[in-house]
Amino acid sequence: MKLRSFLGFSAPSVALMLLLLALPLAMTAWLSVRNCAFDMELATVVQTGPFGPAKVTTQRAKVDASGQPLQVCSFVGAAYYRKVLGLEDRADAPGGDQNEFFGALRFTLLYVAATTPFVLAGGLLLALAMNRVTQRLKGLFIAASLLPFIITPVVGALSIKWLFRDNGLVPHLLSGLGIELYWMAQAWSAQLLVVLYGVWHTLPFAFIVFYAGLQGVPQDSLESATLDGANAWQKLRYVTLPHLAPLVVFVTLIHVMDAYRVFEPVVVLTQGAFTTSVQYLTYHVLLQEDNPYKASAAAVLTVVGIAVLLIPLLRKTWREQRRGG
Amino acid sequence: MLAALPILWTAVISLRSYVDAFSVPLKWVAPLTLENYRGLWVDREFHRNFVNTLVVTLSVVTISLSVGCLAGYALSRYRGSLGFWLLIIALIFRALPHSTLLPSFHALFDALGIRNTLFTLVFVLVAINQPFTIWMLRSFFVGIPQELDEAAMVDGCTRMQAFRRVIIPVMWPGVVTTGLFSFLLAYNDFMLSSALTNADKMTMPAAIAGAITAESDALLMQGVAGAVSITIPLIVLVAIFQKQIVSGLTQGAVKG
Amino acid sequence: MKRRSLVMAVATAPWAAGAAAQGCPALVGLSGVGEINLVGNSFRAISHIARQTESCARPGLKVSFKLTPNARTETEQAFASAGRSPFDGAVVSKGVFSSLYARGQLAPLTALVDKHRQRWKLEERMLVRVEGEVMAIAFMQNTQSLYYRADLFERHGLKVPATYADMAQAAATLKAREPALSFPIAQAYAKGFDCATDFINVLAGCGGQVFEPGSAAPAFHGPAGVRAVAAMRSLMPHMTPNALASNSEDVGNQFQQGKSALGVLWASSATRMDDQASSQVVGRMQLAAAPAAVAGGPSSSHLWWDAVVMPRNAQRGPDAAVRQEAAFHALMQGLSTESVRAGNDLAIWVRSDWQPGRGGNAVELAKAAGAREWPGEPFLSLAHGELGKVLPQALSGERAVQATLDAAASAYRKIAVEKGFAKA
Repeated sequence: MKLRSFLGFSAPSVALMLLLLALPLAMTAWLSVRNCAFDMELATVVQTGPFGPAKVTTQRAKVDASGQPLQVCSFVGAAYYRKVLGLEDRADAPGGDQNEFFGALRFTLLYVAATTPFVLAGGLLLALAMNRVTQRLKGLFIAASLLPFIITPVVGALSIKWLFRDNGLVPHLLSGLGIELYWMAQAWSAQLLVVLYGVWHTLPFAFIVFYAGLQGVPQDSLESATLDGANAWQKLRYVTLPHLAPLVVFVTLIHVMDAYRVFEPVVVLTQGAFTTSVQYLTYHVLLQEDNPYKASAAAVLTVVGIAVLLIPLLRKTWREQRRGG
Repeated sequence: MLAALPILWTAVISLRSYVDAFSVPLKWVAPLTLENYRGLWVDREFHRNFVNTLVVTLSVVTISLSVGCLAGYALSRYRGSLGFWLLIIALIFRALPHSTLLPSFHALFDALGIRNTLFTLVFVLVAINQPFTIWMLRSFFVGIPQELDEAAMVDGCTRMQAFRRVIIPVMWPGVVTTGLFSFLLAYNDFMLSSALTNADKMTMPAAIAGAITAESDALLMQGVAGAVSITIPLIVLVAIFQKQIVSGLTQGAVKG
Repeated sequence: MKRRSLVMAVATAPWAAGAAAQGCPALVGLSGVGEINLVGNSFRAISHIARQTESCARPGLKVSFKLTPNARTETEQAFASAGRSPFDGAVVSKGVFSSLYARGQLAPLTALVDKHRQRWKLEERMLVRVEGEVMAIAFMQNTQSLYYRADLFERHGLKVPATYADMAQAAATLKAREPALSFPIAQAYAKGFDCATDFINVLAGCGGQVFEPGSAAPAFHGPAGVRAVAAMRSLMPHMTPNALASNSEDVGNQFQQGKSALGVLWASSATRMDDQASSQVVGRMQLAAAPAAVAGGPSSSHLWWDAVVMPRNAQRGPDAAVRQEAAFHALMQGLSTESVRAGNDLAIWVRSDWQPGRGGNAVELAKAAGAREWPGEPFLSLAHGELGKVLPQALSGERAVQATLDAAASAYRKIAVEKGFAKA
């Protein structure tokens, strides 16, 4: 294909991505070093209401000629970065919510690290087991297993929440066994719940990919292994798994990318108590603290995080591609 | 099965009133009521959210596919390094957490006065979707032999005509599969919809966000009904398009 | 005209349970407005008002009232928007009003009020004026009161607690003599809004102030603040272990189910205690002024009001004035005498023709006991937020009280600078 055609065909897509992905990203970086606030002045006013009149000394925004409040914008450099990273507060008040970004990052990485092995192992086991299920049930089975992956993450997280909340099904069953547990009330169980959601949600994806991969295991390798006297475990280890290895890398890569972005379970299950993720931090600062500048700082740090996480993986994959052709 | 348990349980309690759904001790059998659904669809006017979701999703799928097909086709046929770099950049954008774009979207759209519109939401979702879409479509187009369009061009067609006459008729399976994933992304989106729209412009997932920290029982139960309402179309989708979904998930893996 | 209204009433009746039958006649003649959007918190009283405002719908006009627990954030965002506000009006608490007013985001309502005052019978008490301009119209008031089980108190010869120490003592007695009551005290200490509100209440009861007078500098981390936290903690041994996750709804439920016998809660929840359907303590809970922190001190509570406001950025364009008027009428329908009559027991209404039911005199009691109005500084919400984040740590004993308060003060100082209330 000629370069001109290529440019022509890909132009709409590239334009959209430039306009709505690249540009906003650059703008986020710009916003992260600024701050706008209302220009406040001291005022003593008489206020009346249901409880009678009162003289109140307060602050309010200066207004311009048409009554519009005035804003003052300025360059603040790394101030918000320092705030989000918790660097400023070592002197005054250590600990607590101050290390917002690192806390969020820590849990996000914990989530990635905790979910990945279970997703891979679970997906594999399920795929192996599926191989033995009769043909007729397979369709239904696959459809049912796909559901957690397809379902709206918010809905999935809410469903899990309603199962585990006080007076829900799971605590009821557990109390039958003598275990009283308020899932959302302490750190370890809340974190476990979010991880549980992650595994529940992503396992189907791994399962499907591995299952497809299993169909492509070279039969002659398997047969010659059997002839050589290998048992099921050895066949698995020496024939099947190496064949699935590139798929494992693929699933891991996709899952890490997606897990880093964990958001819905944090919002739904804990609303930020005990568990924060990097996406949740940005969202929360933007909408709850109503501070787009601080949120931008958090966003830029999030990008740095994913870059650091992915670059080694990407380079490895890229080199393999180049070599393999 | 364990996978479906949370969803099944949600469906069960959606048909109960709050007292029965979260009673102490738990009831296995309880009177059924459609009250939650009525409260949601009629009082809270969920049907507007449903329409919004429909409009947004269909628009996103259509635009995404149109734009993506062109790009995907181009990427499959072009051999220069620019194509390779575009793919890499797309991959990077695909990994980008959506929240990193949120502050500037919010500020920008607010200043332009277009924040609370379906139009804006549609284009944002299309753009976010593009990296994934062009990757997927590209691998489908790679599977369509180049001889087909090359033959058409030898016969005197321009590239665009070749695309229209020869490729379009045979690209549908791949397009359907990609369209499905586009649909899922738009339908399931929560973060962007809830941040960029208000009130009656919200899509369904954003609208039931109230159920997350519901202080009143009625709101909570309506949220449960909402969750089920959102899921039913998806169940239908999985039932019908199961094969395509599976092939979509795996083709990325198998073809690298 | 009459027949038309009748048809409207019949048509809208199924969708507007309990609404005025006239279908909001004030809006007759205002056409081509399209849609009015309002927002408010999802409390019972506001839900009632919402339904009333929505009854103003007619051909060519739709009124849509969004009820959401996130109302504060949505209102603030909408009113701050540089473009057109998605909402034409909102129901806000006093705290939100202060914040919006300080940012110059509220539209003055004086002209509309003067024009339509007679028709809607707006009383002077309802009008919130700042420097003479009407900036909001208050419709309900509230305070925190002490709830106690009168029957149990009588049975064991207990006096109504006047201080926090009295409360702890009464709780200990009740626990010893009523084995069914494992957690005699219930109070909303949930992280965030609830525990911070309680703290500020008790702080007032300890004679402390949230800010240095006339400035935005924090003062809540002084000795009064430490005493306030100590008072809050003194009640915790008598509360459920899940206290740090209990919000007002939970506390109300605990009272209703007879699980607790004592506690400070919003006065507007009093009618819930007598709700035949869900309460097991009908007629047995009484209200008194919230206890003082020290004997002879002021009551540990504040006076609140909720009001309707309209944004300055409601709409730019040719029909802006008509829209504003339509929105005004819709909101007034929600606050009208019919609405108050229909929802009499849902709130402590400001209107003078409200029939006080249970807990109706709570505001009077609180005033008599020395409660003041909830502070109106716009930066209070910032301090409130920071306190809400870290107080549970002090309450649970995880962190030293002074250190926690200092952390909140330092965090508040920083955010006040960000918002322009204080200089760095």
